[in-house]
Amino acid sequence: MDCEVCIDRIVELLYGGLPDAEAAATRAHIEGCETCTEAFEHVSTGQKLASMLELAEPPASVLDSVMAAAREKAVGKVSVAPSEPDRAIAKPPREDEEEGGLFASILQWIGGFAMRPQMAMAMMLFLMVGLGMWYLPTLRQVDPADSQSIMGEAPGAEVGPSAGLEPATPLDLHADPVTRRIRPRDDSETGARITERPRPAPPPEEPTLEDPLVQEPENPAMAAVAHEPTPSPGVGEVLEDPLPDPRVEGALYDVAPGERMAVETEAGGLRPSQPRVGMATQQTQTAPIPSPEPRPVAPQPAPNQANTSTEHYERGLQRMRQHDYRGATDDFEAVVQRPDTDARRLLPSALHHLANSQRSSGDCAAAVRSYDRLLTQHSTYSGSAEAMMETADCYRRMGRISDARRMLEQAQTRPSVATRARRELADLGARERAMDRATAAEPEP
Amino acid sequence: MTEDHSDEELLRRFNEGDAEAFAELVGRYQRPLYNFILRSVRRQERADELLQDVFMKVVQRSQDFKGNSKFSTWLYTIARNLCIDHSRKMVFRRHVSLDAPGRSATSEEGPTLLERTAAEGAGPDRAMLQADLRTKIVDAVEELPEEQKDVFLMRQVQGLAFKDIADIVGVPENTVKSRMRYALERLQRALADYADYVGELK
Repeated sequence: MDCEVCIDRIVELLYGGLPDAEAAATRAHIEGCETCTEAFEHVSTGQKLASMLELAEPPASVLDSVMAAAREKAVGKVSVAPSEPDRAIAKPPREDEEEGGLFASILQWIGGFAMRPQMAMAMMLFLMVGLGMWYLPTLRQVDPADSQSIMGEAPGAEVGPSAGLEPATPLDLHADPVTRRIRPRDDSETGARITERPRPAPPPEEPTLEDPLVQEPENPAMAAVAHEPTPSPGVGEVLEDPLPDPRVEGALYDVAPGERMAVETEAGGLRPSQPRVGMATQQTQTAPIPSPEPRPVAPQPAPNQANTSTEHYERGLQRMRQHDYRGATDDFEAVVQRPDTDARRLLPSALHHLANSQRSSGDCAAAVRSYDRLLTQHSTYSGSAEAMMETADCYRRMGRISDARRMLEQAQTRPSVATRARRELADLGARERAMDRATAAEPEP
Repeated sequence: MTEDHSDEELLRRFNEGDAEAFAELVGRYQRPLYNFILRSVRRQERADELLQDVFMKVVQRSQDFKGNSKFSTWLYTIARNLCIDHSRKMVFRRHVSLDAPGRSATSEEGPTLLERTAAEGAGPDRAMLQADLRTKIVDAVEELPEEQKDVFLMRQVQGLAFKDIADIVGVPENTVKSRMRYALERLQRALADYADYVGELK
């Protein structure tokens, strides 16, 4: 048993929560270790001080109103129980109930029920939900004429397709599928060839490790952008946001009203297109327009240079592949400790990789803390079931069988690992029985 | 008599109209619960109100308790939530109260009773020492970080199991045990001057 495990068990030892075998092992370690002895004495002293905490008495009158309310509620229960007519507090039946019969009693029940505030609020809620469900389909029927008026008058010759909007009136237009330029069919001019902003490079394939952490990105475009290194200054484009919103990314390519595009002139250079009336641009190009070449990707950082969270993350993955688990731990810790936007996005995966690298380098105690943080703070993380199994493995290696069992019992509720968890639990049980037999067979000192 | 009945059974009886069952429940929990609230909010009048609020909620929502957890877990979840709501409202006043005079004596404020009596050459008056220590224990508990204090009070005052505390607080059981250890270590550090006296206690 190492000191970290022993220190983690001190509270359970003092409060009587350890099985006998573990308690004996813990005491034996404490007796032979100065560090753990000191830790034990500190916690034990704290426990003694805690036992001296004086408990105040609540004022007697504080709960008078509570008891009065409790009796009223109890009386109310008794009065509606027809099986106990002999209780002293039961109310006698009203005379009008006897005369009106079933209809009157129903009306009285409805009236009494409807007057309750909770019922009124529930009915209001249902009304609002019902209105919303009725009105929502109406809102979804977009009137193209209305949307056109919002965008402003489009020039008669060209009507560019915009995301989510129907064309107002079918015109005799030709749409080039490559450049996505739309022009009238009888337009004979060569016109300007719109240079598309080159799409970012496809994301590097994330290697499948022993514990693959495949998280389906919600938006593949976002994933593609996420893996793209932050462009360094001097490329020639000034981006307001290094990670453009993919929801409007399509607008960067469409000739939508208000859009500025890099237009290649016949001479080979580029000029910005004339802005259209209407929507503001997503991207502001104030620097000279670069030549129509694929945007150079920022060079990969040298192995000893990683500045952004993404760079640390990717380097961590690389080091895991090379079995440099300590180096990988440093990189993933750098991601976890950063407060920037990238780190927040990568945090669950980084935490999981951190825990795995710690586990692979033999530091199970640190790995357990990382797994604990992952499962606590990111309970909806897609790899949480796998993380539970890995946590149980760590506990088992540390000799914390009861904790391993608890984690496996939790993992059993997850369909993806239920079978493995049951199998591990069975193995754990067999192991414990073997240990018990071995302990029982030991001769008395 | 209702002495042998579980908390859940008493609540069920209350739902069926037995007010005495509820009185039994109140009798079991009012003192530890009051101390949990008092040490959390640190003001007696507010603790009185919150204690009333907690039990009033139990009366009003007794039918909502389905028995999926222990009654103590449910009760302390209500109490903790009310204390948290109170803390959020009182966040500005709390800063003022920390600066107000009359807080725990620190080393800058002069020697402790222990040091004074030791310096005077006379043996410490044990009664005064104990009274002084008890006051300082209360101060030290109230100074614990919120997350540690919640765990400490639920365990120490009410005797809840760590597993139940984990359900109430919403963290893993190991985290609860760690917080308890940190809380006890903090108490020991805060009252290190009394180590010899405490060491004599068995």
